[in-house]
Amino acid sequence: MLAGDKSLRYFNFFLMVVVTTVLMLPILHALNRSVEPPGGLGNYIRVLTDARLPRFYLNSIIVSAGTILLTAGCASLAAFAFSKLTFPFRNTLLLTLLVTLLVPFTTMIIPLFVLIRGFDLYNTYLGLILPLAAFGVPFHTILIANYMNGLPNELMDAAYIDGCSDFGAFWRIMLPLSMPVQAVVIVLTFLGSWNNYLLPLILLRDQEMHTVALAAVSWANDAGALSQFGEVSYDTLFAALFLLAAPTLIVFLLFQRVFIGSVTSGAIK
Amino acid sequence: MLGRRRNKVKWGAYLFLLPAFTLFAVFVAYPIGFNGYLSFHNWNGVSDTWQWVGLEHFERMFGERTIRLSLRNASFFFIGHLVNMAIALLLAVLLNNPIPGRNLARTLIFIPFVVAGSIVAVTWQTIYDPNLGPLNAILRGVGLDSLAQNWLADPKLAIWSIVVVGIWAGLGFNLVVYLASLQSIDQSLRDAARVDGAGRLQVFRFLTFPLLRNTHLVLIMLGIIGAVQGFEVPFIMTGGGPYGATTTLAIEVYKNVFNFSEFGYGAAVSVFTMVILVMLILLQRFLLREQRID
Amino acid sequence: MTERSLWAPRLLIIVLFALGFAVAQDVTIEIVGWGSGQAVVYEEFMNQNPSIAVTEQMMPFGDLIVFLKTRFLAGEAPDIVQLQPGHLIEFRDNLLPLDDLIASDAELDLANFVQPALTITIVDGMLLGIPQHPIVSGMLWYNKDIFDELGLQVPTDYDELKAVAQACRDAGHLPLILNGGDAWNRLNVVEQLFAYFAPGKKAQAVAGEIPWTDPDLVAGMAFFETMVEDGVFQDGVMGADFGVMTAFSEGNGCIVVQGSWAKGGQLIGIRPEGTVGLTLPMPFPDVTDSGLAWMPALGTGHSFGINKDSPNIEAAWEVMKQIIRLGDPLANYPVLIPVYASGVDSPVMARANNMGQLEATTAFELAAWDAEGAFLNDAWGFAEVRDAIAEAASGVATGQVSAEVAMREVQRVAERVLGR
Repeated sequence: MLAGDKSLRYFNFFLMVVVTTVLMLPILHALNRSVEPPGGLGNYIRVLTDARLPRFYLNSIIVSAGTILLTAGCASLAAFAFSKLTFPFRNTLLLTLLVTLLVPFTTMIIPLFVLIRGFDLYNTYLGLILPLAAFGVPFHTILIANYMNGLPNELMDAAYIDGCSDFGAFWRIMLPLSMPVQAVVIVLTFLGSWNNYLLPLILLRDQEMHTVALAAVSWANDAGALSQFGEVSYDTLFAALFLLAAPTLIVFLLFQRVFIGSVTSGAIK
Repeated sequence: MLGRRRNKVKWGAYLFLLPAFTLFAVFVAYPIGFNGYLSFHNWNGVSDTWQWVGLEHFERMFGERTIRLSLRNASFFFIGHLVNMAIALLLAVLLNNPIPGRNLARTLIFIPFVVAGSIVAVTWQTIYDPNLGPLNAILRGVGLDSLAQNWLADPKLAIWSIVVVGIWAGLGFNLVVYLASLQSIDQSLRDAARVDGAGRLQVFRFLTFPLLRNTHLVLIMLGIIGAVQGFEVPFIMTGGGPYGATTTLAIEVYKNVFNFSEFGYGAAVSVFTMVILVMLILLQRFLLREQRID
Repeated sequence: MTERSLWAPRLLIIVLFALGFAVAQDVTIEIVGWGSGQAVVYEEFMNQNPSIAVTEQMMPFGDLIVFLKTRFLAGEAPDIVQLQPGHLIEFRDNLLPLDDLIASDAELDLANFVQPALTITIVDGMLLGIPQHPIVSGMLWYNKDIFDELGLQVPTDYDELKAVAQACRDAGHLPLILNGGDAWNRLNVVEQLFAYFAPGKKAQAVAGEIPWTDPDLVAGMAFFETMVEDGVFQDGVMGADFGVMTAFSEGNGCIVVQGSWAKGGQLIGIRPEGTVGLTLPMPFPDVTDSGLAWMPALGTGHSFGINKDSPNIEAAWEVMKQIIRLGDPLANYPVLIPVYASGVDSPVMARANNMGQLEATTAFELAAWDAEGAFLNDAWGFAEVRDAIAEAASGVATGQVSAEVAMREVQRVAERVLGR
């Protein structure tokens, strides 16, 4: 150990605590508003006892799970090809795929709606999952490909020597080794699909199909309307927003352990 | 010898690309073509007829103040993103040390990124409220009355107020990406450098920072894309105002399409947005060419 | 009356029953709109008409238009749509003219509608929507308790308004509260300034008879900046959101500009006791000191139209009639006048806990609807022009642009959309 390390460690700890606290202030503010009188903690109970809540959660879970599977699958396959295989038009195709990241989402609404209608997928989970995945795959392809670029090419050579096909090399070597970044893909896709608002609005019709992101808005409407009669204070909205955000927080915390575990286990040496 | 098989052309690669490109063709490429075609027409979104207007929408666009402001604001968002990256990198280096509670800190800092953008925007709106919000209350409380501002109403300040929200919400993502990259760098390299007498700053400057090159590149690219496509937070917090001070290309598209039924003009702005992005990213790739260390 | 003379009514009853059974194939009427909806109306309707189910989908206003556009595009549009009257024009190809339906309906009489409200939903000579929530958009509300406490009088000219604003600030209250971040609320003020500085000229400019760069209109726009600079509004007025309304409803604001609909209920005497001071309506003061009488801007907050391709137009019309008859049971707006004036007993009355305030407000609003020089609010011709005016106000108020330049920009937009 080098001299001065101990005081540096105290300084680091102090710095970390200060920075984190400052960054948490907005959340503390919202938390504070969510339990403001007269409702107090009752604000949360009020939202929790709403009968629609479980269905909204379920809808979002189905949509998110489907989007994750489709996105991670398509993106991993494509990333492997871009990172580890040699083929004509590789860069052209990568750039083509990247065009997705340049598309302002709001302009895609009408063509997407027309398409989903044409496929008879309007007001279905799949109708929501397909476009969500389509817009997520390119980004995650880059993320995974970038990670795979960091995996030594010698691993591929070794796989071929062991008699693996390309798919074998992908399935048995690259995919397992890319688990740390897959965790990121899963977390980010979950967040993206869970928090998306515009697509469910356009592609779903019935309220029982609505996702949490849509529900957040109807809660805001209700809170605004009912607060006039003093029945529900406007602060219930903050409680509702916290509860609607809760699943993302919980899932993130769970994935965080897997994520840190994978990264620190040093899969890449 | 060994690399020969690896470098052989693999026609099977296209099979790996098939699922991703099927989604791309149907849900991205076709809609882009739709937009491109639409940008030369007038369409109100409902009628059966598209009226050909040629380049009219593009001519109009280049005269619009809001488009100039959108571009300015995109550059401000990008500056904010660079600041974000710098903070995230410093935090990542800090949290890469064995500090007790660092996992908790990382988790907490990531939380804003987990929360839906709309919730973030609503929360910050209440924070910035000049009369009732906690920010001015705190500033006044500690005697800094002169720093209390009309955060979202002052045309010079509003865009930076929104940039700060973006930094706050996006920091956790950049941090986690940097941390993951840092941890993939062989610690023994740094230890060796330290033993060889290199100072901490030197190790960071000449070893860690260059090794993170690919991460920088990805984050810069994402920053460009995010900056040009900015929508949710300014849309919710200011609607692009006051007087376009916080508007973005995407807000202009949204407004023209959904408030004014100018689908053709909206499509033209979308096409313009895409062209700008493509140019910026090609430029970035050219300026910061990936250099493989073999 | 003989047996014989009753055959006609009997036959009629039988035919009606037959029709009733034909309709009894459960029909679902889908309504899409924004705001809090009016489930009360539809529940009562469904009790009376078990064969017709009514579903209501509410969404934020910002999302409503795109939602409806896409649904109409796909032929999946709801049977009834709730729109702001200004948006009816965008859906004129999709909506059913209602004139004939009303004329042929035995229960309704066109003459019983509040006439100015009805004209606002006429597009190309066709009545495309039934208006709801007649509203006096140019009025202000003041907190009488605060005024009494500070010894203030209702301001009638600009100096008095400034003095009241200053007194309120000194006492730690917000002065004149404006949700300036919201275009509609902003336009409510601009319209009143146009009315005082350039009486009648707004309508002329909308019609394209005079340019928006008319000096009187520019003067009205410029005065908006003066009011902001003089501190008449609360600080940071252009960055405000709904939250600023909380200040008024919690008794921390002196005056509020109409349009604070989210807190409307609290203003008209159905708020919980003790949460707000006594709130009363007041005219927009004569800021020009020219002695002009107040010219209120009138309008309607909502309108309901029928999808002309709906497979269930008859059932949809029955639902529409219920909407018309019951008026506005939830009364999100501080508005008491029913759009269909034939002995409607508003459920708002039953919830009120301050009848004196309610009666004063009703009298004030009825007088406004009869006032000379009253004009239709929010009638800017095109959404683009409306937005341009709102943007101009925003730019002028934040010192980014002069009123002259801002209004030139408005004129440019107006010329573009008129030439389209």
